[in-house]
Amino acid sequence: MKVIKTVNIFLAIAILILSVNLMKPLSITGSSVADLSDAECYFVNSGVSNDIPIDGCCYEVQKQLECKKTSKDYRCYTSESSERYYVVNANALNYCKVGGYDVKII
Amino acid sequence: MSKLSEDMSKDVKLMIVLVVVVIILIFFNFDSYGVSGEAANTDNIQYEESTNTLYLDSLTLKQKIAQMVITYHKETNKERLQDLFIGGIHMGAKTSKEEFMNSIDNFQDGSIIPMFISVDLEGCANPFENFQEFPALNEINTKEEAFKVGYDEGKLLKEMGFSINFAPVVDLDDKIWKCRSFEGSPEEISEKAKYYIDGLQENGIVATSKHYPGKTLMLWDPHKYVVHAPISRNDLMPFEKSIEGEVSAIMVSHIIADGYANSENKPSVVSEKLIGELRNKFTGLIITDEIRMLGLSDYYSDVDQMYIDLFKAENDVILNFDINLDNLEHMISVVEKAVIEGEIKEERIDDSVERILNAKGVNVIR
Repeated sequence: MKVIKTVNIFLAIAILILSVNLMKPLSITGSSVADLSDAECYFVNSGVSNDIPIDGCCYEVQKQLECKKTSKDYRCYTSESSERYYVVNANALNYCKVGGYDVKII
Repeated sequence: MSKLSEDMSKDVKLMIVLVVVVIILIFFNFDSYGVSGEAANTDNIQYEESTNTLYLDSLTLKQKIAQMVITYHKETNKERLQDLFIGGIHMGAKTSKEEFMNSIDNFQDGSIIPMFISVDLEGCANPFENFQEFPALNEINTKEEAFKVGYDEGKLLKEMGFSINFAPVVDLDDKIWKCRSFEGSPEEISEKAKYYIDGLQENGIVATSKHYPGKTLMLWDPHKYVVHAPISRNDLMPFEKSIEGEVSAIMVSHIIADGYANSENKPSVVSEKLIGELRNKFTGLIITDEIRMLGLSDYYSDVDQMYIDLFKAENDVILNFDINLDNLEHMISVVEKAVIEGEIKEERIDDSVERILNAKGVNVIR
């Protein structure tokens, strides 16, 4: 009887793992449930800053060489010396990561 | 004793129920990942190297669908991507020309058919900035200059091993980045775009006029991601001129269009009407904008339906830059199922794959 109880516990664990695994492909929708409040993204072009929509921002940030932490936000660039770069806050960066965008933070 | 026997009987019944649930879950897990027992390799593909000819019927349905996808992945996933027969890889910024070339060589090494290697080289936010500067499109003043920039970019792209540039932007204005589109009247923008495209394509690079049907960089509301835009004749002019000039590809945006292009209250990229009308006048590649952008994904409550609609709308190339390969494989499985169930015609998948392979310089026998 103890054996059956143990087997049942293992089966319950297996059900839990398989259920979680089954939900994994739905993680693509993670971006839509991630917190978008206070997500900020700017494109800076020779000192002039332009507000960028968050989804376009994630797409662009993914293509940057890297994102470097500054005192307040993150600066994402193709070249560290470039006059054109993105400034994103932690919420925006988190949103992009949850959405499956490859964000390279240094 | 009877109590013990009753407890044991309950436990056995519970065990049977649990075993059945486990079996059902195992089945659904396999089904959701599209594991159909089919070997994930490309041994089945009949390709004659001497004549550069591929027999389309030798591809599995899953391989055909995968060939329609350009994705964004690291080289560590190369083998899995090659086994899927993925159509192409998009690249972001790197530190040097050599790093790009090594990465491209690595992705192509072992591929039966070369992958598309794409980039967004628009001048503004240049991925090659560490070793090569180019002007942004708004800095190009004449058609001659547009040709030279296109030519120089095309020459470098070809040398490095790229095959597609997702440029030029031919929206009539860029009110967001303020550097990604040409400046001038619709006629001047159309002309500069045509010359820029000629420069790229003279080097064998696929140029991409984007973002059809226009106004994509002109409107945005920070509180709304699904954007509606009225499309005028002028918005379409640069695309029509690009088509006349034989541009190889057009990228379709997620805006909901009405007016001279009408997407029937859906994002353009899933509108069979809008893309069908474009297809009637354009024989090149129709490419989606990246499909996880909120302008598209916020329109859908069911991501699987979004995948089906994207393929049903007769886009040739789907940009899915999700770094989670399971999600990518899930998309392919969902579309495969929709084809098997008759929701998407296999013939239309074949048409797209043939256009893609032809753009890669491969002859196709159907």
